[in-house]
Amino acid sequence: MRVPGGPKLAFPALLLALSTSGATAQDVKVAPGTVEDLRFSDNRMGGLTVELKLTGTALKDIKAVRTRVKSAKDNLGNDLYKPGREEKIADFEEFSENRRPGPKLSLATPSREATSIDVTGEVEVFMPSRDPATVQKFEKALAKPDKPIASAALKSAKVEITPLSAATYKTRQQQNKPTPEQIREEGKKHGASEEEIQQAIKLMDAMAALGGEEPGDTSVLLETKDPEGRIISIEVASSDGAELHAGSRGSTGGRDSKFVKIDLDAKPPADAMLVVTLRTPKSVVNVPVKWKEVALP
Amino acid sequence: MTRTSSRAFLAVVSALLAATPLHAQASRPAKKSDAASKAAPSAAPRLQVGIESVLDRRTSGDFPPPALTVTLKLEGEDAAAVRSARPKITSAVDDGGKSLTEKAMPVQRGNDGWQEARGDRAPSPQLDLGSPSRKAKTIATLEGVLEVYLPSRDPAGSIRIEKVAGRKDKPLAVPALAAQHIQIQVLSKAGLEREKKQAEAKKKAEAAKKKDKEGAEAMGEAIGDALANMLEMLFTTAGEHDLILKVADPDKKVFGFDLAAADGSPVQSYGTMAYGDYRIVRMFEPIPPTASLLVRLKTPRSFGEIPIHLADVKLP
Repeated sequence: MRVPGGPKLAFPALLLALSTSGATAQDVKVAPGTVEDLRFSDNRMGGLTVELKLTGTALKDIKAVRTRVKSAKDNLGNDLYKPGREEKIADFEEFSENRRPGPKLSLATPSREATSIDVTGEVEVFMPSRDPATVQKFEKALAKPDKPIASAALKSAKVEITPLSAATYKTRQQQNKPTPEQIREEGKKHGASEEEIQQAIKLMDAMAALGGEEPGDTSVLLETKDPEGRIISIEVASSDGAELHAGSRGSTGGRDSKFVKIDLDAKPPADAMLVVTLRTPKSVVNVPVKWKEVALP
Repeated sequence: MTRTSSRAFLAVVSALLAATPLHAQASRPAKKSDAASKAAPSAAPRLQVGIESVLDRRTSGDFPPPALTVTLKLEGEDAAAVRSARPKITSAVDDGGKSLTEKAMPVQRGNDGWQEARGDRAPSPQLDLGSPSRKAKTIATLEGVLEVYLPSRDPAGSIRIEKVAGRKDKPLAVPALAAQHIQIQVLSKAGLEREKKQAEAKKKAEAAKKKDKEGAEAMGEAIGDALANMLEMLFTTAGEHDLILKVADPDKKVFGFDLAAADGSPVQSYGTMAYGDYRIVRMFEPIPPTASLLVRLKTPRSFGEIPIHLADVKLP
């Protein structure tokens, strides 16, 4: 539609749009990919997953995604989305075009007699290119262990990041490990037998032995508190901003308190910085999902 | 040993005693213990095969392909004595008439398909079938045979090596093993490292000859590479408490390995992995110094076969 004075106004407006907001929801399409229906005779297990196939011109800008289902039904009318009362919103998961498996949405098991499903919801896509404030750099972040990083950006995102000394990390991890008594109590709540509880205690010990590798000189240790799940990633970089490669990383805990161990290829320099990518309102675009008659395998 | 496993062990022993057929006891030669192993197979084990669970993995993707996995349940007087089982399915059809054996993707489970028991319980062998039709409601028929291994039915079929944890990196001089042409060496991690270095040295020596290599030499080099790679994998795979065995068994008489405490009760492992001539008995906890290694032999009396005849197995 042509409006009076349109061309004069449109060009600066377009420039402004390109420089600040970047890609929009129209630049991303979400279609159903591989559908997997895991059907167990024990109906406490199994479920339906639908892989998300993302396409569009903005694909290269997407660094993380999160799915939210609003409704899902099979063609016989069975409800496949029944959120629990206290179900928390999932965290964003990292995304890249070639990453496999791709993001998925998880639903309840449809009827065996059903042939298709309808799904509505949205995919939140994180595009840091839309907001420079998503990337926060903290110089000499490891110089003062056991003290939270002071930052207005972190504070406004309700995020706390504390570099830890090896001694504090080990002590805090030990404190957080569930005791046999706690495992027993939790097991009894769920009606587990004594044999199952004993197995769980042994399994916990075995898991601790497998994953409890002592931190070394090359380990960067952190505790994060992130009640709203705003942290997308944390990288370690040298003072000139070059990323220091991490051969492995692991974490335990949840949003309230998470212990992160980043094992670099070499000992980090004393002036190493932390590069924290945070989700901001401007960096997230919501792409609607309205799928009809997705065939069941 | 916990009170639970102690009770379970007594129950197993009682079951074994009860399961030993009277005619077999009477016919067993009193003098030569190896005669028992040469005797005809004992009576069919008292076992019934049922269904424990069914997993129908349906997918619109190509890989991994869709599949139906059936977990069998062993019941009956001899169930607890079964230490390994191997299902062989001859036919399986859904209620729409689709064959479930034609497009079945074989999954390697256990060594040579033998699936081990865990703890005191009978094994729950799994079998893999092709994907049934979504419209199908049941597996109409499932036919085959379940081979079972019950070492307690043939005492002559097990060779005991006492205090195995203290016998690392020394040749085992056990006449009963020698009589079967079996050589076993218990390796420490350091012993395994030495084996690895030897294999690497062999690999280097063969690489030096590379210029002229042809035919048999090239094959020798490839074998050297494969051995070095396997040892590397073994070294990285072996856990702190695992029992590493190097086994020479030219007549393929060894079926498997178990561990037993000084009082004869089983010491729980988490299965045995095979890498060429090496075996890793998986352990979460250190092997007690007084524990024995039980070398289980393939004797006719140790094996049994149970027919599988199942019908109208409900699909989930």
